[in-house]
Amino acid sequence: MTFFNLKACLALAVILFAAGGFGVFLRRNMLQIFLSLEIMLNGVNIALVSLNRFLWPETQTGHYLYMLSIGVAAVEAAIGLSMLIAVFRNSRAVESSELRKLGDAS
Amino acid sequence: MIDLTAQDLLFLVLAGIIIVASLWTVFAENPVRATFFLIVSFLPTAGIYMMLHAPLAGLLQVLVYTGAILVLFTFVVMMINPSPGPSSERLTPPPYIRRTRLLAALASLAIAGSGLWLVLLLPAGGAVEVQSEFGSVRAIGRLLFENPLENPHTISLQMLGLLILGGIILAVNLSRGRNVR
Repeated sequence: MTFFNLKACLALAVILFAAGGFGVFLRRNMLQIFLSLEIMLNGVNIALVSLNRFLWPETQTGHYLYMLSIGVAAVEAAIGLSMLIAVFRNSRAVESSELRKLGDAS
Repeated sequence: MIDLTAQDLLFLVLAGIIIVASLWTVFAENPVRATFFLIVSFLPTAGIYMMLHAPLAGLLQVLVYTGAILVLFTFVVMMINPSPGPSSERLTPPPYIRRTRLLAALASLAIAGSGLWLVLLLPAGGAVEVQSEFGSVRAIGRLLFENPLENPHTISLQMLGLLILGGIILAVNLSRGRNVR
């Protein structure tokens, strides 16, 4: 019995997902919220590739889903960071509590 | 007692680096350090993909994730230049923030606990043999582009291209200066 199996990979994925979720809930710096989102996506990607390897080894659909996932992650990072820069330009702060003041006329 | 093979040791070392670096990213005070530790956590993930017979996924992890997305993060960190002075996170948080932190910790522990419980309920799968072509660029290319007019993978990949184009247009419009018309 080897240790490197589906259980170990999925456990790693769950731990990464929970750690990223903790960061998304906890941090107030928007840059670190985005970094935590990337950690969550990393966990999901590990789950995709390992499920493909251990449960459906006759196809490569998990790898294809992984490619779609990093494409969406790239778009999300680009749009999120440009929103971050727009907020920073307005209020000189990157805390997410600043987003409550977006309604004020500045 | 489980006797560990070299593969298991490699997996344990890589997974340990990934988890420690990810937690460091989450808890780091300095965004520059957080970005650096995210890079440290993404490079061993490529090693895990290599162990899972997914060389193309490992290459994309290094090239696209670490090489493109995290360099974008680094650029933004350098651009907004987070001041080392007392940020609002270090000041005494108001009580609703403290309640939110407690809830965040409880929710993440619930996610981790229930997920790990579900995973440990799984039957221990034996070693699965894969074909020698599994995960190679040739096999994935055949999956994506064989018979392109009737292949749903080809069409959804083109949809992804359209999504990226829309994202570029939106990002350029959002980050354009206010006085540039």
